[in-house]
Amino acid sequence: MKKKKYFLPFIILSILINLNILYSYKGINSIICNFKKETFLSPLKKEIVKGRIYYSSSDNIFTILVNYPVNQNLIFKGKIMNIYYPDKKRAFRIKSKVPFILPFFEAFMGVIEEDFGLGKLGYKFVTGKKKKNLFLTYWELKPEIYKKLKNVMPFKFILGKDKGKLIFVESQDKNGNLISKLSLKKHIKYKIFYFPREIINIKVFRGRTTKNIIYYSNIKFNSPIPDKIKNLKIPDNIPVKEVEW
Amino acid sequence: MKSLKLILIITLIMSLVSLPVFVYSQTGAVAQAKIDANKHVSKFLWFGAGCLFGLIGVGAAYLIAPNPPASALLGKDADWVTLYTDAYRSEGKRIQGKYAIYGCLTNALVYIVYAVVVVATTTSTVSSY
Repeated sequence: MKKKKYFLPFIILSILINLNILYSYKGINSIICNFKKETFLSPLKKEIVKGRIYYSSSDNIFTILVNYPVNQNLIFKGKIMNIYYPDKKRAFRIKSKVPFILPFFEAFMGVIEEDFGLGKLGYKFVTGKKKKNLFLTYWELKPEIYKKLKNVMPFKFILGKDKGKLIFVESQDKNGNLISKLSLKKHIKYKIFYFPREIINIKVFRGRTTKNIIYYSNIKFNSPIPDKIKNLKIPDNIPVKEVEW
Repeated sequence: MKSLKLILIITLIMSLVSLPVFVYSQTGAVAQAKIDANKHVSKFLWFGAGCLFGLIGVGAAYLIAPNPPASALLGKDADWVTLYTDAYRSEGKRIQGKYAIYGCLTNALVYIVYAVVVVATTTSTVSSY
């Protein structure tokens, strides 16, 4: 009886600690950040786009406000993308039969999904191994999906993590040739998540290499989305060009 | 009068210089759209559609326009977006149609060869009697 009383405080303490851990393991429901995207058209010439991103899974919001080189609002709602130019008073409404592949999703997927969203895309885990201080996981497209989409989706992905931080994502074809490589750098930590503040994306297609770098700054997690963004839409008096995709 | 002539000459030179830039940027939208369509459209898929479904596959290739990636429109002005999406869809349909036709013709060729072999076999069997 005395022994049970002695251990009781430790039991209570461990329960409290575990509850605290469970409480703090709150997912990322929203991300608000500035971005700057540099696309290298040639070694000497680059295109720059700057703006702010609003993402909220609970409010179903993905909105990008571009402020350079043009003022452009991109508002994604499922299978509809609205593009509005407030200065030019022009707008497009693009309706797709399939959900859009959202821009910038590489950074968000790396944070929110443990497997970079590969499981949902139809990839299966093949193997994992330690290489120096990195942990590499190898993923391959499931055979039934490969047969249908082998010219559209890479055959293999390799994810590289360093102490839980996703630092590179490489995609290859069946022959092991590089298709694209994402390098994720300058991570900031939010609870158990690591969000990259810099992503270098290199793509190889028919011998041509394209490169773009995305910088994220002023990042806020789980902040409420402002009402003006939640209610953002194309004004009624603006003519909208409807495009069916 | 001389100053007016000078102004007119300068205006003419400026318009000649700026026109190629304007044309180039718009041509750039079309050129980029064609490159992207070639990259994204699944030629194998449409070849297969032509093979399996014949003329229906070919028809579908010209009716179903592919979707440009949303990221390609980021930071682009309205005129660029219009040119790019139109060119992407047009080029995409052209590529789809081309490979669907290849698939359809391949299928037809296989049938012709098969028919010739069957007829030849049947003829030789009959003549052997």
